[in-house]
Amino acid sequence: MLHGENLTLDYKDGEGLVEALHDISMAVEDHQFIGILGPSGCGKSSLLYLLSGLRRPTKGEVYLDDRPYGKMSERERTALRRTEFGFVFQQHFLINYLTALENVMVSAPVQDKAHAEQAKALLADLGLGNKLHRFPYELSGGERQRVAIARAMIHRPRVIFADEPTGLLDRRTGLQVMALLRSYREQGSLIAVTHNPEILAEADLIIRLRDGQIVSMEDQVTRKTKEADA
Amino acid sequence: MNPLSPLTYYRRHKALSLMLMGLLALTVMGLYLFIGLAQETYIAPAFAINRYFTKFSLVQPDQKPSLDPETAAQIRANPDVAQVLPQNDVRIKVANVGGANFPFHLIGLQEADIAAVLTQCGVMLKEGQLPQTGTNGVALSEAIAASLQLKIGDTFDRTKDEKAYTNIVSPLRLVGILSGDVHLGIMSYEYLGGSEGSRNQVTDGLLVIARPGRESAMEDFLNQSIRNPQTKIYTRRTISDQVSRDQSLLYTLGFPIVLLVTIAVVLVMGAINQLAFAPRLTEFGTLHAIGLGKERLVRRLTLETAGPALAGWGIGVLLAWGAMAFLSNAVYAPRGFGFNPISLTALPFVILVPPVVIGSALLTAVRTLGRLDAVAVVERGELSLEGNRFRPASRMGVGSPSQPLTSVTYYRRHVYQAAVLMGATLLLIVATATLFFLFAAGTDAIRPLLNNLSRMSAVSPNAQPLDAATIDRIRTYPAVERVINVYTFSPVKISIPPMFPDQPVETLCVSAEDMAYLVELHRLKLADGRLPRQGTNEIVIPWTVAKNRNIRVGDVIGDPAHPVYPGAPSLPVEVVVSGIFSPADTLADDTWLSFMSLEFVNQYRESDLSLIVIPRAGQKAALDAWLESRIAGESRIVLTYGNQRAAYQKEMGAMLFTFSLMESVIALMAALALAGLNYLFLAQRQAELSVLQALGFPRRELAGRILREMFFTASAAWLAGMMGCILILLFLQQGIFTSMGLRLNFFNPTPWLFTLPIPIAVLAVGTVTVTWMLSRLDPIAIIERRS
Repeated sequence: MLHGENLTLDYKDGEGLVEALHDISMAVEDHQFIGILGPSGCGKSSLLYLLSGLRRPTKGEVYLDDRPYGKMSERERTALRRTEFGFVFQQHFLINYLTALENVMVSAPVQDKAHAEQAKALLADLGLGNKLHRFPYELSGGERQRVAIARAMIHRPRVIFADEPTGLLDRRTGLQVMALLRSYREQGSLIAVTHNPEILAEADLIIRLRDGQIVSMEDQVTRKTKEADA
Repeated sequence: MNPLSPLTYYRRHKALSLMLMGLLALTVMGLYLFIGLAQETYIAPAFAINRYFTKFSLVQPDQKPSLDPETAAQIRANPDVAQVLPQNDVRIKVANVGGANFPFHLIGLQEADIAAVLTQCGVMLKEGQLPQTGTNGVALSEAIAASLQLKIGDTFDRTKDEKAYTNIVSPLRLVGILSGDVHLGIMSYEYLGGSEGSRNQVTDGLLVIARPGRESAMEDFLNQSIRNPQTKIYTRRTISDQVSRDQSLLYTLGFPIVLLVTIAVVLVMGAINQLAFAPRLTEFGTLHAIGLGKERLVRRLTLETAGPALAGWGIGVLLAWGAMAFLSNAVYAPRGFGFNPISLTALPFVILVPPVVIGSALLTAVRTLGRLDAVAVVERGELSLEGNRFRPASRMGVGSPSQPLTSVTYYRRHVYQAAVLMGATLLLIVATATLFFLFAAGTDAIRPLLNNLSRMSAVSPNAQPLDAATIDRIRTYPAVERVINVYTFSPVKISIPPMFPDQPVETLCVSAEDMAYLVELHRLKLADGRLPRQGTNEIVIPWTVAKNRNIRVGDVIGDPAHPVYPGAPSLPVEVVVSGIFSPADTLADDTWLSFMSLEFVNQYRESDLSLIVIPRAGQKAALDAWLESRIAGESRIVLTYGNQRAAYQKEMGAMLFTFSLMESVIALMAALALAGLNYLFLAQRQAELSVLQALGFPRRELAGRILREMFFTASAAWLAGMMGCILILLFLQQGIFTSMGLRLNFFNPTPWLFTLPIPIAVLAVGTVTVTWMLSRLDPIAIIERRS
């Protein structure tokens, strides 16, 4: 469904050129949960930006249903993010003057009452049914992230990109947030970037990055075999 | 090195400091130019071109052919008087840019006296020659000649320029150019007093020169001992009093405009300060936690505004002087009205801008730092005002959750921002439009004077009586219904604020039969009294004039000892008000027609008869076209509704153009200030816009959204501004005009159009800013920075 081929990303750092990603190829299937793991600065977020079309690779190509991003206009790629993808960032990035419900409605495909009801139901499913009209500053860190997740889900995207979604949360809240994101697998795919392997325990595939290169790709069977061996 | 000094702050926050400085500089420049140019266009020239009254005085008879011998003897005998010279004069009008006109005396002197007057004024002959005895030659100062666009050898009279040379019936010739600081117009006493020269509107009198150092004493003597209803005095005080009156009018008009603009700028600067302050709460919380008192922090914050405010003020004044120097050289000087650009007249209007801005910054600092909680900063590591900006949703209503990105939702959650933007725009709209509403109020109110020609036209003699052949041609022209002999003069003047304090209203002196005809033609009805009886000194006046000057039936006009209203002109013979016409139902139908008996006035009239020409039904346009093309000429002046309206519109257009130029300075300043503020508001929302773009909102949609928000505030401010203007009009109508018998035209579109430049300029500059900013938006940079 979504795959990248030989992705390389360079960027200028002062006078020099830094290679953030080098020759990375990967594929994401429908309803798959893919984890991208690695230390800070290894290129995890950059890979996410390339796969979501937020940034263009220096070399290589990303395809969605065999449609190459490179042949899409800026407008088409933007539309793709609006309709096919959802995003959860490390910081919630909620709009501070909109309520929880309004923040979710920002991503609704049509801003009408029917979708408002859907957004309410979604927030209620995420345990925020009684906080629909609270502003972000009136919510805890976990609650804000749940609103961000609802915003990522409201338009039923085919892929949700989560960039360190638990990075600023305590362990218990982080695990709750990941459980919510995992639950989306029934409707679409999830690509989560993190440096914490614990939250990727149930990922279908974990891609480990170091210095912009893939060092390993392990599916669940391989991981369980390894664990059993250990 | 003091890291907490304001200088360090300015160096590290150049953009903000420059923005504050630039805003203040533009504001001060705009206000300074507005007042300074009004002063140099409409007021100062009156004194500048009549500066000769600081060198000598004129004493002239009023409504009499000559001065009493006793008066002349009294002046000659006064010890403060050095010289008394016989003089006569005729007045012309000198036009400045912007439709301003100033009276100027062409003084007739005996040839032997000319040198003494030139010496007294420090004036020399630069080119050509001085006027010779008994000739129509005139020597003019070069600035006056430049303004009148005359060169040596040119002749001029009322046929060349009806407005400038109304009193010049027999042509005069420019023979010499004078140089010197004092402007003079000198001609032959004998010519002006002779049969040919006296066709012009000549006044006979004395030119009085004081002994050195005794100028004030002589002026006091003339004003206190000589001035009386039969004797007019022109001294330095006469002209300075006129200038003072005009200056008061400028201050009355200018002060509210300056006040509104200043409040708007304080609002904008306050908002900018607050925006710059919010992200620094952590800094101030930390400084307070480590032991810096709140007073010191308040002082520091205030000084951070004071520096740019004072520097901006200074730069603004310098820029205004620079602009005035340019305008003086490029525009005013070629017309003879160059001025000293380092004028301090406008200084009082801008002197309070920096203190008000600094005071506002001080209040903001005191109010905000008063709530600073250092413990919260230390414990939470951050302290943002942002959380306090929005009231809990439960108390402000749910709003429209299904449409969270509408302008209404945005501004409901950003009431302060909306209030500042709309308030500042509203104030600037009202400030700039007020001038045009006042201007339009005056021009609308004067419209009935033009309406007098709506059903008739006039042919006046110039230099010689209308010849019988011409009169016969007019009488027999097929489009002519009736021709009426008429003599016109202006026994009363109407006061139309703010620009026409003494607008003459002409009285038509006609036979009883013609009077009845004209009353019927113009559908005039008597509100009180009756029409003047044949051969009597009775007058019937329009209701507006009666109301304006509080004149009633039975009142006497023209009595110098008992003027019918303060400043009323005296007349050769008194006239009695016998009737007052009713006002018309609408302003468009209103006329200010006044009648007297021609048989009575014939005994006193000083000039030849004119003709009123009445067209046949439906033939007005054809008649006017014929009169203008076939009858108008050097010896005949034709007045039609069309040519008088065109002349009026030309004059008003020049004033409107000048006002527009003045307004454009304020509009530009406003647009830049509000665009700057918009930019800062937008900069605060970079994260929001970045996330929206990351979520798939195209730049165009985001730009559209921001522009809709700007359009929303600009439109709301414009509507509120319109309401403000309606209130101003109602105030003018009810508070001032109604009591003076005048009516405003609420539907005149001209002033309403002038409410548009500011919102349009704000939107235009805002569009450019938004487009530029969004084109540079990099969502990843924002997301990564925040992560």
